[in-house]
Amino acid sequence: MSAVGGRLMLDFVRGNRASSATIMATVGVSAFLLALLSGVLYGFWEDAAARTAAEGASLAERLGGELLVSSMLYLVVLALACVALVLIIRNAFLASMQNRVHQLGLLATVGATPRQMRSLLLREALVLSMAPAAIGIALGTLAAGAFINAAIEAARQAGVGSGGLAAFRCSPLLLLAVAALVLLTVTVSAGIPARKLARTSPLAAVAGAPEAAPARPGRAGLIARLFGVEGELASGSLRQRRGALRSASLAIGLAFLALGLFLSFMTVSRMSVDQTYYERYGIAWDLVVDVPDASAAELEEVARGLAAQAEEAVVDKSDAGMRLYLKARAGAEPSLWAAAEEALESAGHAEFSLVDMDADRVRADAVWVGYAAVVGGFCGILALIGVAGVVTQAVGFVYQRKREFARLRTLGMTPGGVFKMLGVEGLLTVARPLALTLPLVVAGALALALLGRQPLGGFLAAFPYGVLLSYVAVVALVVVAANAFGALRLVRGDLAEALRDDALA
Amino acid sequence: MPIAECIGVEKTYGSGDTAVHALRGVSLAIEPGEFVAIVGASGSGKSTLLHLLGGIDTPTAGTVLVDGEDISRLDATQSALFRRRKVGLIYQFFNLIPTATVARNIQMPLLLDRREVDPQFFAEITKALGIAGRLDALPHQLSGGQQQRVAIARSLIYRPMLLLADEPTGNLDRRTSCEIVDVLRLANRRFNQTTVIITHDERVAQEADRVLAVEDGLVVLDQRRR
Repeated sequence: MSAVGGRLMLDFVRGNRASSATIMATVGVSAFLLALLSGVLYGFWEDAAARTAAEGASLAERLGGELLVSSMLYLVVLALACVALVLIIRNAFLASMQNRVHQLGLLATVGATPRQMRSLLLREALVLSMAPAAIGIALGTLAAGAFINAAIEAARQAGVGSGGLAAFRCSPLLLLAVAALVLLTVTVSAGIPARKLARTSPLAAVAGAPEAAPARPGRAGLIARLFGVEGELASGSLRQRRGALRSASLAIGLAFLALGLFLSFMTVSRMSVDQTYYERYGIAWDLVVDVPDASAAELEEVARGLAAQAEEAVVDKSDAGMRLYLKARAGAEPSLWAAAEEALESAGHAEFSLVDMDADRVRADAVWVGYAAVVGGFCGILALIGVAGVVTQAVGFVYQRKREFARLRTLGMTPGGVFKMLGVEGLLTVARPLALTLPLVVAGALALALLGRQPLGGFLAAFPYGVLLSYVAVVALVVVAANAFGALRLVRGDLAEALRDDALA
Repeated sequence: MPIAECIGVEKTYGSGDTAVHALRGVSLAIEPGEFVAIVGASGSGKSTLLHLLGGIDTPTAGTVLVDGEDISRLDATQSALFRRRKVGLIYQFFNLIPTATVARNIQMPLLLDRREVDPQFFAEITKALGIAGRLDALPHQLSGGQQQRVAIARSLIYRPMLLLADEPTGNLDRRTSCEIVDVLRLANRRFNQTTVIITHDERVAQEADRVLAVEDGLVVLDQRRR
């Protein structure tokens, strides 16, 4: 079987370049995503470990507490990503393997055991996956390194980088772990359909699989009204294939939800910070002094002593006790910071904190940029997973849909109709998860605004809708493009040949 | 004037040593209202001839005319329009849309053509074909015979010039096969529907007004019975 299996494998790969290319692309993208995610999480973990070491924690202390919590969290995220990718890659392998049902049936009739057929399919999957997986891992690790180094630089510029990781370190253990993870993901992804198909009876395999049929007719009222009969057919087709699209839809919806909630959180936080520091008295403060053990009168006395350096001063309460806000007088010597320190020490205050507002704002901005990059990156990865799933469906399952579209073309559906139907499918694939998660995003945003005690009007005006709309536009564009490519392949296909295959089946 | 004509039609697949000459210069004419059976062994070229008449494939040489129009040079869009207006196609495996009800399946060619369904004609056809009571069912909820009746109704709803059936009873038991042939005969007589049916079944061929025998890509027999 080994020599025969190898020959069969080569013949199939050569004769089915499209589905082989789809598998290779899907595995390559998945390996890239896993390597990127693993590298980024590893970088975060190393940074946290370095910080705890710099703080003088022992090994046991380092491995416990916050580091343990973050490790568990990172492993959970990695596991979820693997599960999502398994579902995506599984679809690509399923599409390819289903193309071979007839061949497998013939092998079964001449005596190949299910174990032999499973082994053939798995070997083919691993051979197809090796090169793209290696490329994906290399590129993903490079991307992770670039991301972590950029984050370190941003933190250093913002003044929060001390004690942490100096630069991304790509350890051989990391590469081995990623390779093992990719191998596991590919093996499980290929193993599920291989196991199923290897159990197909010879008769069923030779006769071809029957089409899945819904239990009851669906309603496509609005879609039919908007897009006509092509919309109705698209809706029906999606209903029939919803199982295969479930994980992709879930990923697209989750990415939208995560992005929407994060943007809401950022908006509320920035509004709160602006109000607290920058807009409270309509003046841009240069220095904020917190003195826990001082009274208002004492701080007012300090402020009067700083008249040469500060053109404006306000004393107010804060969560940390009393607070003094100071606006610097241009060109004053010594500097406001130095003068304030001296004045407080002279007044007998041992505990106080000074915050340079310009530097603080830069740091806050950098922190926000960092948060945005991290969360944006995770949302991007989730979205990529979802989009990869949809693209796999649109491109990899073209063979399976030949019969469906041959039927429609014999009824008189024009090539334009095919494009329209698949275009509507693409739009619905994106629109449905977004429509389901939009109420959650809105509810979450309103809840955050309420908890942050921000006026609704101000929140709605400040919310960065452009970012969310850009995400929707990019995802929709990629999905529709993939479907258009699938439509092109279907329209160019030989109708007589598609019907002939069906007649033989 | 014939409703369909083939003039010196040839169809070759592949090239060189592996070329397959499916049709090698077929000329025939089908008159309005005829019920024609095409018989022949597997690989004789029957289905190829049907595909050419139905605008699904194009000849390598020669001309195919339907209702005076040369369909052998139509582009993809034009041939799609031709299929939903001028010719009805029925297959061995029904080719119904699994996610659409019986009613929707029957109406589909008209919907694709953005035309209104004539409710009276719809009722007449579904009643005549014995499927009026199953309009809300899905195809998988029907028997093979019922599915084929739906496929026939779908092909008749837009009153095509020509009804082409490729082994319509090939997937059915004997009793159901007889029922389907009766249905096609009924459509031929009641609606004066010109029908061309490919069949291996001699009983079906006996129902036809005219029998064409195809062998090795050529029409070797053209016998009018009535």
